Amino acid sequence: MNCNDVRENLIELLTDGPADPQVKAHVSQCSACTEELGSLRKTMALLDEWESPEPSPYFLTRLRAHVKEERQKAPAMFGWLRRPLLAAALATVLAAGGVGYRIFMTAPPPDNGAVADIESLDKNHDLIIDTDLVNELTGAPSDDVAEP
Amino acid sequence: MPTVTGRMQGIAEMAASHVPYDSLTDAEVMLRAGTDDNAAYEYLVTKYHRPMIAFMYRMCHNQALAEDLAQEVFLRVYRSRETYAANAKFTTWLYRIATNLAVNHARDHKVERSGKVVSLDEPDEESGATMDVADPTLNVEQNILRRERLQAIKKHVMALPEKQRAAVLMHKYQGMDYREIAGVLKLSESATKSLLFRAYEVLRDRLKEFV
Repeated sequence: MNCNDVRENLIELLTDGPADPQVKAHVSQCSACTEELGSLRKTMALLDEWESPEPSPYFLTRLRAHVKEERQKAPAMFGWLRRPLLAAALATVLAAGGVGYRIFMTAPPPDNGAVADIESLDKNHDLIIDTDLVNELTGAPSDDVAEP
Repeated sequence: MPTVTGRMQGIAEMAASHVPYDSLTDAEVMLRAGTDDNAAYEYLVTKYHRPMIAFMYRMCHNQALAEDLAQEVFLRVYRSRETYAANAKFTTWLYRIATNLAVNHARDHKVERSGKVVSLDEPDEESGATMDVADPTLNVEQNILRRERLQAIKKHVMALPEKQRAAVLMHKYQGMDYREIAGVLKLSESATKSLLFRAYEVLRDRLKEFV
């Protein structure tokens, strides 16, 4: 192992955990790596000065209240699913809804009187225009009302 | 009619339910919490709430926010109790939830954070003045130096990229080794060692005047 191989593995030696014996052996014989490890240890020790504050005394009380809410919310939302009668009723309603939807979607559209009347008027108007055009082409008198 | 084996199993389960939690692994206690054993959940919260708040405090540098985020971590643990699978150490799972929450929060509030300037002369407005209270055993000059050092540490740790910061905090303050950190961050062990080494190198360079 050379110094480059060892550098990133120095992390193993920063704590008391298990370390690669090859890394340990190299550091014990290499002054540059020993110095590197020493300066990393000093940096780590410097970080000890940053202490964290004490938790608020209400932290656990607040958490317990939140957990209680969760516990109460869960049966309210999904508890009914555990009741067989309600679940069976829901399944029936869903199945009936599905069948109804299918029948509705495949049935012919209902006959709408007003729409049929408008379509008929449009057809008649097109026919009159066509007749006028034929009359004009053949020289026959137009059906249009003459202007005074 | 219960069989002999069934009766024996029932007795074993009854006995197991009275085993003190501290004789079980945290993962085993969490599995119990999943069977609506509220005392098991309470045990884990009591055991981990302090280190979790400390971790969140150092991740976000705001005590009130740290406590809110820690509350959310434990609520997520509670919500996941029935689906928890003890594939890894409990703390690996716990800190993965915490790191994800803290990193997401930091990303969502990046703009707010970037506008803030750390002042060495005023009390820490985010955490209150408690952290910078003068040490009565030091003289005025030593106290000023100590305060500057502390502010520099906070500033440079906070300035690390999120993954590096989380890795350093877990390694340095939560007492986790690089293998467990690798599990939390879903990185390979060698990538985690490299991440930690780079982070400590940066801190060593930026804090060299205090070392």
